[in-house]
Formats: sequence, C-alpha cells, structure tokens
Amino acid sequence: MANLLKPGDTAPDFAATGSDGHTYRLSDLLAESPVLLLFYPGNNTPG
Amino acid sequence: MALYQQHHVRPFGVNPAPATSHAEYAARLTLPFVLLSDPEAAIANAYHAAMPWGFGITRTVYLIGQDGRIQFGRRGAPGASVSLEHLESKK
Repeated sequence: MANLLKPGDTAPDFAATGSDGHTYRLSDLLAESPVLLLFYPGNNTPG
Repeated sequence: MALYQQHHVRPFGVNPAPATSHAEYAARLTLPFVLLSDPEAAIANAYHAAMPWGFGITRTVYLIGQDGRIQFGRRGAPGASVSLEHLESKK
C-alpha cells in the first residue's frame, strides 16, 4: 500500500456529496477551518 | 467531537457508499459530522487510503491545515486528542 501523505504535502483538493445532500469542496472548507478526514471501509463497521 | 468543535476543526467521514446510504446511516446514528460519498474511491486513492487492487479502504485519518497542507496523517482511528495535538503544535 502506498505510504501516507506526509506533513507539509499539499492536500489533494476534491469535491464530494455529503450525507446532508450538499456538495463539499475541500478548498472551500479550508477557507473556513482546518478539516479532519476520516477514511473508513464502510458504514456499519466498528471504529 | 466536542474537542473538534473546540478547536474549530471540521471532521468528515469518507467512504465509498453512495450519499443516500450515508444519509440513512447518519440519520440512524445521529452522527455529529457529515459523511462524504467517494463512490470511485477517488479521494481515498488521492490520500493513499485505498488498498491495492480494489480491496477496499484502510482506516486513515488526516488533519489538513487551512494552508491546504497535510498536518498529520495516521493509519487507524486515533482519537481526537491525538490528531489535535498536531494542530496545537502548529500554533
């Protein structure tokens, strides 16, 4: 598996549909606040 | 979750499920954060959170600063306090 992105690396921008129906773009979110991304395998999985 | 709010960090869950599935899941669990749909695992690939050969997603957490750069990245699901230590250290 590829190594993690490292501190200082540019975070790849993206746009995605949220569970609230809105479309979120990372660059727009970062204009407001830092962002924490939690990648996980699937809904209904522990953790 | 309160820690994130206290630090003005906005958390998002990301996985390949469609937005409709996320909406049901979020409503059922009354999740306090938005889940983002990544159906082609494009975001997971960009952030090196996808397993090779399409074997799914590896639990991975990133904190991204307002300068658009990675501040912290870790496999697994470290608690909020772990992630936010790195935010504090940047201040």
